[in-house]
Amino acid sequence: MMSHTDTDTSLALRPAARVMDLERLGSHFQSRLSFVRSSMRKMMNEQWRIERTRFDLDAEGFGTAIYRIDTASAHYHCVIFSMYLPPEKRSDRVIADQWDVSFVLLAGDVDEQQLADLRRNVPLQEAGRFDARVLVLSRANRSLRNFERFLGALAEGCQPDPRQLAEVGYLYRTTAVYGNGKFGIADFSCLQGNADFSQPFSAQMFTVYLLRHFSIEQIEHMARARNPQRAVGLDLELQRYLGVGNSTGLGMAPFLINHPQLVNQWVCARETALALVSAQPADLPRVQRFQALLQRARQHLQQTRTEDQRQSAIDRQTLADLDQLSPWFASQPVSTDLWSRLQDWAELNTGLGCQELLVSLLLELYPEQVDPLAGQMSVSEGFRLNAEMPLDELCNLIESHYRWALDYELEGAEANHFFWYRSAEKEEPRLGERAMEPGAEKEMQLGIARNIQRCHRALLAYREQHPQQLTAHFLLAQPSFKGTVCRLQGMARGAFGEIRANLMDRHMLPIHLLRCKLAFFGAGKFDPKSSRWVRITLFQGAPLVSEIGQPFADDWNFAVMPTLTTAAGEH
Amino acid sequence: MRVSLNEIQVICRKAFEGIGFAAGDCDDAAEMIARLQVQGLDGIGALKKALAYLHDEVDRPIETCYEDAAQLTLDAHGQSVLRCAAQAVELGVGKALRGGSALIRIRHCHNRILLLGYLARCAAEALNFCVYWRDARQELVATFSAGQTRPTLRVYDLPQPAQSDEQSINVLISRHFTLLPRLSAEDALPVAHPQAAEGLVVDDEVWAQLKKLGERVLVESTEESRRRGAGESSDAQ
Repeated sequence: MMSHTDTDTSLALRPAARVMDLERLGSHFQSRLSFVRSSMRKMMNEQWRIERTRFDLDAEGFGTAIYRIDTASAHYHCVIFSMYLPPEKRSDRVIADQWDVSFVLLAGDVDEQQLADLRRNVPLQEAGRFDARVLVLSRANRSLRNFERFLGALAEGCQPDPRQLAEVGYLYRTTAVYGNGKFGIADFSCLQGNADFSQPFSAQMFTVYLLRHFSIEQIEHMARARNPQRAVGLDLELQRYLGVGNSTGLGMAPFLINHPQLVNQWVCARETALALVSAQPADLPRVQRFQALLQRARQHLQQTRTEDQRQSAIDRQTLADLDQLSPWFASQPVSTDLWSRLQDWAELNTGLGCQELLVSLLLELYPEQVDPLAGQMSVSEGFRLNAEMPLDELCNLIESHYRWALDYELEGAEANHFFWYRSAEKEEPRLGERAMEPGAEKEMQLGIARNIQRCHRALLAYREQHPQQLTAHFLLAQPSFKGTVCRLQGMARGAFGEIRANLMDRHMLPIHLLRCKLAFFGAGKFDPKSSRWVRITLFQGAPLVSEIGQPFADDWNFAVMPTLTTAAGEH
Repeated sequence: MRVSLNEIQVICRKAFEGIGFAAGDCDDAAEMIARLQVQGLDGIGALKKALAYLHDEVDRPIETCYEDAAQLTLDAHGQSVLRCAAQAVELGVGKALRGGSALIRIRHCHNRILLLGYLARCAAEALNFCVYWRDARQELVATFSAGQTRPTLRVYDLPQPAQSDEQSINVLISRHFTLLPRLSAEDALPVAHPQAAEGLVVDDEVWAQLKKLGERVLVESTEESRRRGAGESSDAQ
């Protein structure tokens, strides 16, 4: 697999200083390269079969459901346990220990003995033990408001109001989706030769998709149980408009700092796609398609609700920018350089939200250029020391590739305001204020710029004494810099791995890190609950299980509220 | 208990953090343990023996005693090979790639078997490795032929207690020739090759010990941190 450290250098990629700015990363939207999109493409193109093999649910929706999945090369099972959750136990935090549903994706068959074993362990989540037949472990809580409204409407033979789904786009909200060896489940390496789930997070995203399907089947079942005579099924348009929620806190942030090679791979794929698209000569059909996409995205954004003032202001600004952009675009000639002129114009006249939204929309125009890049989101991680690099070269490397890190002023109280730590409560990642809270001596090591500055200072002093020596000699003398040197040597091969921010700074907003990762997952409807916590929606607008095998246009992002043929609330 | 490779990497990384390893070193050291485990050589068991030393170890310079185009002798002054494997092996690899072969000797180091966990990374270089070290009763010889990620390990009982060998480990690296240990059926140490898909078996007791070490970096909760630290607001839907 090609690593993006080796990509075609003739393409005009946007500079890393711009791309890796934290606020810009925190302005990303879902795109064709997002994992939910690529997972859906694979599922649809290969016509996976998803079949319900058990559905032992009572009238309240509690019980066990099992789905069998057949792909071209293998088969899997998704086992879902739905249980009563006492109100006092309801929490989206890592520290929760009970959930409405808990579920797994398994490779191969599931027999009664394994099912009994899963029934004991899956509801325990982190406290359970699993084996490598389990590929994904997850749990979710109901959106109580939507669940009750939907159930009430369907049981009465009515359709729920689509505006409720525009506001909160799901019945279930996942609070963790575990893969890669956690609690004994299969390592990611077990999936590397797997034709179905070789891309990062693809098994997790597929499992979330199955939860969406279950949520539809469960609520219809409950409505029928409540009122067998009058109950109706959920309208197909509403089914498509239903997604799965996710509630995410700080845990995602360290991931991005600790996996710079993966970040480089993802961001580079996106930037490469943008460069490829920008180089295409515009034509009338694509101009019209772009205008239609622009209109849909605007409507989607108008229908995005959040009580968070910062996000709300950004969304309003993006909408205002789009209002300005549309007439400008309509007045432009269909020229060969239209797409790059569009970006230049946006760079000068619009905010980051609009600029990054345009990236997502532009990527839609040339699937044949963009989609192959979705197969290159995986990378073999790990740094190898270049022991024989002369000290001069190592210094130059830092001063050129990490100039941004050297330029940070890291000494003042403002620059050290926060510290990141893992709490003794289920290791929940948290953020503390250094001057106010205890625990700073145990802070997580996320200060990449600080490490680089220290290493650079030590290196300059060492080189003064030993100008002819090599990197290995420096590290034999000062072994504590080994990790930093391995990282900077490795990361100098790619432009986009390091997020340019001081994560301890008083003005740093963790929400940007969360949004960046979630946008790569394919999240929409960003609804921050604070600067450290966000709710999003996945798979809103995606095709249904019953539509697998039918013609697929792969044009379902930025879903907009449907207009029902039967008005909501009517029989 | 059976665990996944990722669990080994994570628990080791956290334990090394708890012990006080430098930031990026934790990953490197955890990777060495995990690879040794995958090689069927009980990296976790080897780490158990190392823990007693690692606790009291202070990160300090590795001394270069001798170096020329084909040789390197280092003195780790009683530190674990976890501290210097990358620098020493990679310098040796460079010499062997240039000159055909190289000999690396690290004196006064412990947890020597863990070095095999690092060498697996170098297999792609088309280099052959022969590693040997001895304690009072045994001599151990491990070889990696070019392209192999699992070593062949043989243990030879010494007929009488050996003279001090400075607690050293020797790594012979070659582009063109392979050194094989003396072959005899009774010498061979059977090395199990666990499949990642079946999980890796580790000792419960040491697992608990590693978990405890990792807990050293956890911060006790306060009402304030519970309420504000993770950032979730109270508006449940």
